[in-house]
Amino acid sequence: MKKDYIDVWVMPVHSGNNLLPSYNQIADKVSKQFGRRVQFKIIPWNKALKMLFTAFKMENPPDVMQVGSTWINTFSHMGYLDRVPVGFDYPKPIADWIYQNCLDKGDRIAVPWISEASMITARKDILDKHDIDRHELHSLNGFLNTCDRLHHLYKYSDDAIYPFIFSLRPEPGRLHYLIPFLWTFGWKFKSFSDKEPMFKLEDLQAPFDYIKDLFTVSHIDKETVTLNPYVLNQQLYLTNKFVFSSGHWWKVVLQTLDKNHDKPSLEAIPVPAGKAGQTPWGGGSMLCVSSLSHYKTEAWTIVQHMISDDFMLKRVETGGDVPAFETSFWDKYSDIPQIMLLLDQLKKANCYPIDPLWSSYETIIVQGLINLLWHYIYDERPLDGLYDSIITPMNKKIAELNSLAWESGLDE
Amino acid sequence: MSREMSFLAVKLGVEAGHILLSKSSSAFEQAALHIYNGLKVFNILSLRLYILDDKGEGLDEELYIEENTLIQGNDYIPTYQLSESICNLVMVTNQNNDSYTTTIPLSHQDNLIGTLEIETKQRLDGDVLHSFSCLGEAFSAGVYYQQEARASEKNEYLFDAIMQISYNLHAVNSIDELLKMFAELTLQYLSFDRVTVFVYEYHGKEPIYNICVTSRGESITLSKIPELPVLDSEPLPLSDLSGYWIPLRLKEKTIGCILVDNIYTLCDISVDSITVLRDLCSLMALMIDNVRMFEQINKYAQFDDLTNTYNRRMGIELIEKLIKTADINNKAFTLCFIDLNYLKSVNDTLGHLVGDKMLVHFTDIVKSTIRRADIMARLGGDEFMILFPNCQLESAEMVWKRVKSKIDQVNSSKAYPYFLSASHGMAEYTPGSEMTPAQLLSIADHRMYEEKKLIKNL
Repeated sequence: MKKDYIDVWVMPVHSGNNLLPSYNQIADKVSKQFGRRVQFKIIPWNKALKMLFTAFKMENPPDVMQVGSTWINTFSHMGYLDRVPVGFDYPKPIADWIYQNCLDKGDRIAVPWISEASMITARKDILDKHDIDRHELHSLNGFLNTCDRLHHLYKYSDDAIYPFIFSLRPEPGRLHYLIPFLWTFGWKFKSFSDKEPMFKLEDLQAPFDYIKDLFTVSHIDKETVTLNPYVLNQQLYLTNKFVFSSGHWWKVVLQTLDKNHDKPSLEAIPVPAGKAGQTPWGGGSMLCVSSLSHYKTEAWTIVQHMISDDFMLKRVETGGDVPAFETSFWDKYSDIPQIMLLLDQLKKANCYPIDPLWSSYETIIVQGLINLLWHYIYDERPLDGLYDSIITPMNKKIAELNSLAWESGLDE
Repeated sequence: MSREMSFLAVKLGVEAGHILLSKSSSAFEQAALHIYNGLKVFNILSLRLYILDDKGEGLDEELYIEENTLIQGNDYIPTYQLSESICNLVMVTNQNNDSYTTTIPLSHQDNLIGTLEIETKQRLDGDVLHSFSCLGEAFSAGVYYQQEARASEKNEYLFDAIMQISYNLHAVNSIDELLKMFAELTLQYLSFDRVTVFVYEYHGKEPIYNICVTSRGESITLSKIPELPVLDSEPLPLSDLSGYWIPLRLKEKTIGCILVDNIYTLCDISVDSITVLRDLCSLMALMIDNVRMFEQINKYAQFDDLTNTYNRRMGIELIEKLIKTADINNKAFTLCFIDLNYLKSVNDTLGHLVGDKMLVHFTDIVKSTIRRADIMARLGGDEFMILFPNCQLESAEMVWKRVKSKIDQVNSSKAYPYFLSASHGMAEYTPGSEMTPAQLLSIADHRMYEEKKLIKNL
């Protein structure tokens, strides 16, 4: 049934702060311009993909939607996205991988919106208190030794700390923080049609040993790592239990931008570098218009408002997510080292393979790798045995999935 | 904590369970809010409701209530990460920084179906914990009912969808058309990412027809056939990839298979939908068989059984069609009348079996020499005809020369007990000449006869 309003679906900002007043301003402007009601709906990140797919299958999708960079190609392959109209200009993306994620076979399918690179959020106050040299944290060994040192410093105190925390919930988002550890040990994505398995035992041994060591020196128990990442990050911010967390750095941005916050307690540090250098994962989200929309002109007008300088500035200052394109935000805060560090990490980041099946591969991979990590750390079983029971079936599943993609592969 | 408070907790469980007996789509939200509001006397900070997913592999957070705000759940806990106590349906209380979280297992017939997490400021005493356990038991019954109601709602939808597909499937006389219609309808009503259908050759396992219909509305014929699974009567799931292979069964025989999948969206496919789809596939198999029988009957009516060339009736019809086409396109065509010499004497001396072999041998030589567009028909006994569309007499004669040369090669090999020889006569149809098929045949027949006489006189 045709909706009589323009439906816009966006995900909440990590801070939980309310962006609705800003969205309502856009809604009012566009409603006045076109004489049609605009409705913004906030959908939770973890359910967004399923909700969007279901909406498309029921032929009742939103007109405008925020889509994760790792889903874009799937959406386009399914025929869900309108092409960006000729003449619709958007500012230059801050990195080429962002630009590439907005294309499908050369066609523009999405508009870059916000960006993210995997980094480690650290308790600046605790690091300062113990004079931790930040350069130490740039190498794998230095980072591990620092975690060990921090644990020993607090070992006999009433307020014991767990230096490094990493949620082992098998959500797709956790892969963003796991994959840089694999990259730094030299592992690379192969083509999905490659006959070799995607993950070999020898690829996983060193990075998983390292992560296990990090968990061991941090003394984290099962109950803590199975807390959801959002709750864990809250605990990093609000308690003195953790020092480093592999999670989104929105809070760092908010503290950094807050003029009243003269002593920020947090800072973002790059994922430590191993033999293959330091490469963060890069992603974010884009704005798209549904191919089924009855109000495409209005929809693209809304997108135009949502990437405006004013709106983006408001968005960063409210939620801590940084823009994916060149905008006044980057100039305004170019003298803040932490913001420039984020920009640098975004520029050098690697994204996942651009493939219509990626969101399916991602689900399979994250479930397999987290399952392996969980049992390797907490069951203390040898990696080769776990590899056979967890990763071999996962590799098989990846190969099976690839073999089924006949409409995009076999006939080419 | 007083006995009244314990009683209150149990009462809340029963009332919330009762709310879940409704068919409202927001039943879980209403029930959870009812518990949350009722438990405010215990200084409740938050409440989370988790429900076991369809596959039984993890708990999906249904909703989360904090500070009177209801938030759609976004958490997922795989079952292997659940504590042993919860798996054994034992309530657990954990201390956080400045609060306590009590996890109440929800169960049906000793199986975990969800959890209710209640965060409170104070540690709850034994009596209250016991009453929370009773709250969980009472609430569990409602949760189970709601899960069943959701499943049955899905089934009603499925039943409607299958009815729509059956209603819209109708008889067509081509297998390609039938498969396309079936795949499109299944995709439309059951919202899969793709539907792919494979039909095996008539008495074998090699797929000879296939079609893949995608959510973009594209129909693709696969040029490279993937390895297909060996199916008995049961559907075969893709290993955790949201898809099923379903056999097309006709009586005890598998005549093909379909793959329905959501490999791009990974949306769940319920087992119930596959059960219903399997029945639909049986209907489809029957329809495919009907089309095949129709095609077979058609073939018998059009083809000569022995030589697998068109028969006389079809041959005459094809001349009529070619005349019409030639008049429209203003392009000539040529008819060649052929008589296979010495067939009678081979039949009389070597037997009809050898005579039949001679006929087939001759036909194979002609068919392998003429162009793809040329048509051969057996008019009866030892008489044949070739139609050369868009071709003038001189060009057709060149083709016949090649046939003759092949026949000469066969004869010089002396590998066969018979001597191949054919007389021919050609007639060209000039567009607009208004000649009938009989007139055209008669001219060619006459010229053939002239040649035959010459051969006999040699």
